Amino acid sequence: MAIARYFERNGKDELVFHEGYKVLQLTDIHWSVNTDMVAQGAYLTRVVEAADPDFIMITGDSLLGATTSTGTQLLNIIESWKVPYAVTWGNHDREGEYSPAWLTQLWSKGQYSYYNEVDDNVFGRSNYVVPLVDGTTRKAVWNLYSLDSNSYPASDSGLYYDYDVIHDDQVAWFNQAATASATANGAVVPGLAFFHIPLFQWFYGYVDEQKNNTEPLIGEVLETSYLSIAPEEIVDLYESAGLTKEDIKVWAGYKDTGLFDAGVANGVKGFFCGHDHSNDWGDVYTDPAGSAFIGYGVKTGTELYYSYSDKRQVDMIGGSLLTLHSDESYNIDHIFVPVDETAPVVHDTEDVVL
Amino acid sequence: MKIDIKRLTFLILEALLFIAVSLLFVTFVSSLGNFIGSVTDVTVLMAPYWLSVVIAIYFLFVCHLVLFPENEKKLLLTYKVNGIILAALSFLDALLFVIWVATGKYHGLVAGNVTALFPLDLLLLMLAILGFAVYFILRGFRKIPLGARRYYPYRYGLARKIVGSFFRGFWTLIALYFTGCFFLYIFIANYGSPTWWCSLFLWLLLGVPGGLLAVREFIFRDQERTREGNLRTSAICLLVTSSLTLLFLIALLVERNFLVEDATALFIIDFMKSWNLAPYLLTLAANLPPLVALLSSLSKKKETKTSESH
Repeated sequence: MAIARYFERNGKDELVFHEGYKVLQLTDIHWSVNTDMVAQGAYLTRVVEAADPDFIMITGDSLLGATTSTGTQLLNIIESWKVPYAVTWGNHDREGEYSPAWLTQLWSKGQYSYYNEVDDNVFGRSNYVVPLVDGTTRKAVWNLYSLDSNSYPASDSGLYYDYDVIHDDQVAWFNQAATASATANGAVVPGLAFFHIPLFQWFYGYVDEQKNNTEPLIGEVLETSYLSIAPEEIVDLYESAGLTKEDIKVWAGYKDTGLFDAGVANGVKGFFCGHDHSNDWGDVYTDPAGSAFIGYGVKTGTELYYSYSDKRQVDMIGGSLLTLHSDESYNIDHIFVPVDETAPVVHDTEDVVL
Repeated sequence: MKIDIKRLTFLILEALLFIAVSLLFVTFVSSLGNFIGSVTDVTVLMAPYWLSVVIAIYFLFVCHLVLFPENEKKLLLTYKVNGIILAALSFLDALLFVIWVATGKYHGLVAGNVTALFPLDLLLLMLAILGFAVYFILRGFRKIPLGARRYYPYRYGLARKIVGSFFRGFWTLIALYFTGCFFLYIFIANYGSPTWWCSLFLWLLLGVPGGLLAVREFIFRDQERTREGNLRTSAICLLVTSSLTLLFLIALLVERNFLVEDATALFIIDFMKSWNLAPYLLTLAANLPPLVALLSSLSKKKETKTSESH
């Protein structure tokens, strides 16, 4: 399998990086048969207008309980922005009245879509890389990695499902892709990794803060229920930190498959997910392999539950804007766009220093 | 064996209506599942849609009563009472669709969120049901002659009738859902999946609850059936359903994740809530009716023998 296939653009132009390149993360759009598509479409457009991005990364759960008609109309809205975009699959995207192949085709056919699903044996669907290149040298300056965090593993209990993870062979694929990119460009290329379900590092990062009573770099954890099916080692970790099972407000996959360590070793500066609707928490996490930002994107739209932040006095809906710099640094702007068009858009901006 | 063409035609019509309503019902369940998980109150927005599916199911039940009446008196009563209720509900719902379009709640006659032609398709369905309802009323008040009819008198007591009607109604809803999944899956299956053979067993099992209803209507309810015949039919059904269940369970054991890969679309509420209950419900729905029928036929046979020996 030629690794170059994962970098293909399906006939689209190369994306040329410039100082202050803006990547907007939209996540958990959750369109269904119940969606008022005109109103929600207008809302999504307002989020995009507030961010004015160069590129949009949609990190899963775009659809849940939708039909082909709903999906097609969502694509039409996204295309109407005339901004290049890519899509990762979430755990709910498969749950609609269409085949997986139909959804693959939907995301692939857009004029502005950089979605690239390679026919391979790597687990999952949306495993690919979108490089941002230098306008003169045509070498990659930043890599945007899309990874499918899948949906649910086989049920051990037979009664419920855990959340799935980025599988071992996907991590191996990532290593190959990052190495190939470094070889082609003569140096490790800084990157940002996008997927839907958080990694184990979200457990670790959040418990560290709870234990040390420190503030995160950005955002909050406002989920009200807890992960009752948390892995035993995570329950032990929380209990050893003087916390209880009820403090586990992160819905990560069921095990750590090593993406974080592989990522930081290969130049990834930030890991971004969706999934937990009432969390927009994010912080720099460090382990022996290195440091990177880990965080949730702000959920996009009102189609499923979300929270009100007393601290920032906003409904936690909108998008997350990442502004990339030539020196491999970037900053994060959580943009809260109220449903009420007359209410002001609120920004929560932080520099990521690694 | 003499074939009753009129009865067969009625049964085929009922089966086709059942399939159409089953497809509506699958999307309806998905819509309700989303509604429960959302903070956005779509009650007003989706009310005409939800009501239209309820009316379509009610219409199916009324058609069943009309096609297989107990006696002339009950047939006329069914025509009148249910005809009036159906007419009122379908007219109200058609009116709601028109108002929702006129006031911009639905953005045009083909807003497209449920189906590509929504709400036009369901508005037309409501008008069609309204037409049938008017026809039922006219028949109920003898404006249109009833003609020669075959009747299906109920053979058991009132208590059993009430309990039976409740459970059959509930079970019919379960059968409607799985039948809808059975037909929907033809269009949305993950063709080319390495676990296609598992999906095939699942698909066949999905067809069982609806298939059992067909067996009941086409064979069991035939008044000329003997107890031995019913015993034989229920034993064959149980053999088929338990074999399919076994194959499905083997598939689940061999490819433990095949439902996630190939069938999440069918069990949306399960996956929304991270439950794994639908396969158990399906297994139960496929095996319980023939088991009950078999045990019932066996007990009747025993009763007959006992009474004969006295």
